[in-house]
Amino acid sequence: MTPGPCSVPRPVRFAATAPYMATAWKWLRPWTPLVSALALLGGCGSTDGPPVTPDEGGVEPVVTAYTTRLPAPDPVTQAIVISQTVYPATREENAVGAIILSPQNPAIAFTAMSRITHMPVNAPLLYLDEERRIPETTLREMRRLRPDGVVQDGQTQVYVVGDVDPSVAETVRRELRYQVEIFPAGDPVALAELLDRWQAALKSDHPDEVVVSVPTRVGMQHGVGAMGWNAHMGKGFAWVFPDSVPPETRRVLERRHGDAYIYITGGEDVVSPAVARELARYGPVRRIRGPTVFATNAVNAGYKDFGRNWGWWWDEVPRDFGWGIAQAGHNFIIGDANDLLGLIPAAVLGHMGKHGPILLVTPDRVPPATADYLRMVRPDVLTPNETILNFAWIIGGENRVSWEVQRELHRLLSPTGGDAETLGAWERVNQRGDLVGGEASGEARS
Amino acid sequence: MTRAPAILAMTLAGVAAIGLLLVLEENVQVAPWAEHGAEGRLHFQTKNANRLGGSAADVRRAVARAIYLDSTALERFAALDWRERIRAGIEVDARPRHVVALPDEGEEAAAWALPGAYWAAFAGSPVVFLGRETVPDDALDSIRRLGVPVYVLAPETLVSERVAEEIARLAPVRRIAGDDLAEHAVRITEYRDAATDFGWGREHEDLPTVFHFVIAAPADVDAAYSALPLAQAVAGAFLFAGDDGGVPGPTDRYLWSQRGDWFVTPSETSFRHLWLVGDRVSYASQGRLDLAVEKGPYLSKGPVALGPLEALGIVFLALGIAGFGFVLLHGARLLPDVPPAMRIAWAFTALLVPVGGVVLYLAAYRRPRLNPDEDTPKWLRPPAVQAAAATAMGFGYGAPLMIAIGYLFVYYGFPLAFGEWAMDGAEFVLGAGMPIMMAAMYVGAVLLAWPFVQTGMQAMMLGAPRREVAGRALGVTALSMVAVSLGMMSVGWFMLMERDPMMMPHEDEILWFVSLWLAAAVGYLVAWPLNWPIVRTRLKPGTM
Repeated sequence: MTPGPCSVPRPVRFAATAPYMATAWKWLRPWTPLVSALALLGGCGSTDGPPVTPDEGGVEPVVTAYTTRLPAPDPVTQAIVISQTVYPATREENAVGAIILSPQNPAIAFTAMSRITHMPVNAPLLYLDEERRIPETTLREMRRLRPDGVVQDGQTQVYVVGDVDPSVAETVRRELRYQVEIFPAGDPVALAELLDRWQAALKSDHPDEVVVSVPTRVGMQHGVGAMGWNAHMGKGFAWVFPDSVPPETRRVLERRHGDAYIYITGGEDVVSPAVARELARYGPVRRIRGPTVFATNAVNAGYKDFGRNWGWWWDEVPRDFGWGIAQAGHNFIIGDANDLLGLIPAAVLGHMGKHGPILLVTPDRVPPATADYLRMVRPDVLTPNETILNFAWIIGGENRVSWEVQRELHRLLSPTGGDAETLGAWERVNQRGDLVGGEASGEARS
Repeated sequence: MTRAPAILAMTLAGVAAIGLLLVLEENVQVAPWAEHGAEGRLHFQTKNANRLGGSAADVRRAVARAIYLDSTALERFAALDWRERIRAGIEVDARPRHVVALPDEGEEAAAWALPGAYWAAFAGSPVVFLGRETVPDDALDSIRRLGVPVYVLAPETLVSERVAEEIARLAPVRRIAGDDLAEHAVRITEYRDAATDFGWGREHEDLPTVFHFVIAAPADVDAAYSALPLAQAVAGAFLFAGDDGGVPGPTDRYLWSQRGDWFVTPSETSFRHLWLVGDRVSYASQGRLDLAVEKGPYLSKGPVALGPLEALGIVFLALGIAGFGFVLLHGARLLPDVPPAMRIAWAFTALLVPVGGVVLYLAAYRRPRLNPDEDTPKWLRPPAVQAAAATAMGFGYGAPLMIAIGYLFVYYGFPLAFGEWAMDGAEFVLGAGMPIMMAAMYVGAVLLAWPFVQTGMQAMMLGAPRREVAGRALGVTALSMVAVSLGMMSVGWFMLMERDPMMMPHEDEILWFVSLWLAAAVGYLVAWPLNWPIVRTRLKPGTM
């Protein structure tokens, strides 16, 4: 029950201990340099520091209990805002392994994020400007991120992807003294093949699960969720066209020697049945699809393919693809379907922190497929030591995802008493604005 | 003969010592890049921590927007003092099973009451305020009327034992308090009594749960009370930062213990989310706290945190280092007849095969010397121990050499080649870093152990000049290292490439050393029986 007073030690006759102390000191003295060195090491850091006040000219994230909006006026800034969220860079362990530098070409960035971001590389994606030069803000962010280097790739710190002038790499080397590797393929199909070869050497293996998407705007909208899974788990990736399989993709699939598991993102309106049949020559084909891009990405969030890949009972390697999230307790990355350049770097939020799949909305509404999925995974109220809640990152300013949509997402993510249409206990409490706030509470009740 | 192995041994011990010191430094440093990491930031939200900064009014508006989706929703909160905010912020349960008693007197009371207030706001607990030496009448009435257990969430300096005894006449009393504010908050967060439905009960990370924590410095108490509605909205338990912006020890310890872990994919498990309230929490603290609750793989728990595999590995390494010291001292003091090169080989065997190496070393020299009158000493040994000694002779230099070469590879980074030639078949592995490293480990170990150690050993064994035995020594060294490599490379591959879904640990992580150490130990065990035919054919001596 009530704790008693601290026990007081008996008086000690210090004089009587002197001989023992002298003996102990004799033994301990040779170790004092080592102990001092360790103490010095131990004292080499502190979390003390000045208060944190955002600089002027920054962005203002909009925070609700279950969502955080990361706004930005343009893709370059959006990528920086995201990388600053994921990587505090106060020490090596929360800084990056490397940095991806990409032109503002969605298909190139999509390919790079699919294959480079995941461990062991651990890289966010930053953009070049529209003239394919390094913006000053990106250079500053690269300096802040202090990449550790990729052990498996000669301690490379920056990967430049796409058809980019060599002066970009030179600038990075000169200004930041970082080690740069260039993947110079300007064609996303060729880039995917090149990165597949590079990843195979990096990991001494080809991941047999291969995502296949189409490098068009709609194709990438259907595939952006699966791209997020790749940024999270580092699986294979290749492009196809709606009616044909390019030779580079054939080569990628041939390297799996018939063991590929192929996941097409989108329905038959995106990738034709003929292409699916063609791909089936290289391994089993599945489609992650819905009638809309919103539905495809909701399906992707719930999709799981798990089973034997190869091996035997003492060392069976499973195939393991997809988030498979069908219950509460998860994080989501939510953005405007038309904001591919914002969503692609945001996949790094699924690589670290709370992780989680990408879902799509429009600027002014949460489409039914996305809303239905969020209702399915909506948490219930539990005891305080078994709390399960959802969370979401919202990518872009209000021109991309309006405040009304953020509010709607907040409600869809909030815990319920069990029925999405019936307000749960916490929601009642949350909306009890009239007790403490008065007139403003009406909006919350709406 | 003596000097070359000693130089090699000192070099190897030096590489290991530098590597382990770098590991130590990596783990004890806190936020060495904090100032640099904060430069040029456009905002201060991080993946595991939302920041609600500014004045108490700013925090109040941010919380109102966060919960009620309207920044003016808590305006009436502004005029209330902290006690009134607690009362206003709690929707008291119709049938409470406990009462929360908070301190009321003294400047410190507001801060000490914060963790309890957050619990009460979450749980809908009735709250009473107690004086240092007195119990207000309304508190007494409430306690008498409710007749349920009372939790006094204050130290004796703010609510005396006499006051607790006075309440105890009306209802069961339990005091929960820490020695300082940070520990106080942690105790309330960890405590749970299901019978009275009191306490967050958030002791560890094992359950698939999502926990939010609200963190503020004591000097930001006003802002912290403005964020009180977060207790309800996100089940946020309250923890303290320091007024100097730092993370106090109890908060730090507690949040590291809250780090979630996963087996296959980080998406399978729960997460932790922090709300940093007020401006005082430094950026260094935010970086550390954000890292503390970052999910990690189950076995290693991720960077800095101590996972179960790492804990076992550290014990493994410590036993090896102790064995190394023991064999060096024991050999120098009690077995001066044993050639120094052989003593060094046994010391490194004891280092890399913890306990087992020491046992085999003692077994090798527990019987009498066979030839006390000859220059080249030999000991009486059964065949199995002869094979063990012959294994140690090659392993004692070869295995640490392989680890040292591997360490240089991870320190400087692997070469990687993936040209067009790597396109179609399995030949891509020739350009892959891990196979290149393993080949270099083998070749490097053979080329260094051969002139530095094994040629001299062979010359001693055969009583012939070094030049004459050089070719034979190269063959024996290559053969010995094949035997060691069989176990070492396969376990090394498993530990570095298969076991860890995050792939190879860095050179400044203890798991890198643990993996190679363990691989070497298995390498010894595999090489041991294979060395018996080598001894039988007199390629290596088993009696030295």
